[in-house]
Amino acid sequence: MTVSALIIDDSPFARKIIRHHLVKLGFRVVGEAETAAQGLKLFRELKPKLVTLDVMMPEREHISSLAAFRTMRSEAPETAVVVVSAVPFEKTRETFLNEGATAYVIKPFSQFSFEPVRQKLQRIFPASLAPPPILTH
Amino acid sequence: MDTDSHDAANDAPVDRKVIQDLRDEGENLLSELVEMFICEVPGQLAMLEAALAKRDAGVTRLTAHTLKGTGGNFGASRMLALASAIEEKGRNGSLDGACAILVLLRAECVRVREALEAAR
Repeated sequence: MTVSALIIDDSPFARKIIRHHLVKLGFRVVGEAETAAQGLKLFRELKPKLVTLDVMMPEREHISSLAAFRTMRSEAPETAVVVVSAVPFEKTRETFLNEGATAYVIKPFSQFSFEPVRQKLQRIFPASLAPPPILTH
Repeated sequence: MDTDSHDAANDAPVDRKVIQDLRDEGENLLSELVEMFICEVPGQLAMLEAALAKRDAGVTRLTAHTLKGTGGNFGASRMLALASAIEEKGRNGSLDGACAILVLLRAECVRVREALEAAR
């Protein structure tokens, strides 16, 4: 049975790349959102097992990425949330990981930068994901 | 932000390793992303120009942020830096000098586009 995933990112490029990697892993992308507010709405409607969340989205409709993250953690703590960022701010990274993010990934994505995340997700969803890829150098 | 102090050794419009990684993913991913760049960036630059003409700091910040992210996905570090500089001016509500940076950003987007078209 495939695992459902929701992508929350204001960049259509990032959404496309993340979708590509998630589908390759065996996830079923059930929705995409370009703001934290839209993402929260889809999160409640679609109840995905995995969410990827861009932390550097401009705040819209008075909901920031951090606020959306905390709400998701509160309402459905069993959902895996992979936080995505273009900038490796250590303090931001610590905040999200300490509050329960599954992983913190720095853009741009590649099969190598995503590999540690893949391994964590494989442990969380062992029966559902595709076998590990052969990483080519 | 000093937009002139750009390391000559790092003057490539896009990061070749990032482009190669995208190409290695197959499934036309790189080609489709390049097509998206060609289709979307001109409109975003036009929106940014219009926002600056109206002195709209909010739209300036959001549009520049979008362009920054677009550049980042291709390792286009100078495009990212220029867009980031405009985004910061929008965030601070002080748009003086942003038009001059937009001129540089437009030119850099042309360089990035040419590099992407050659790479796909």
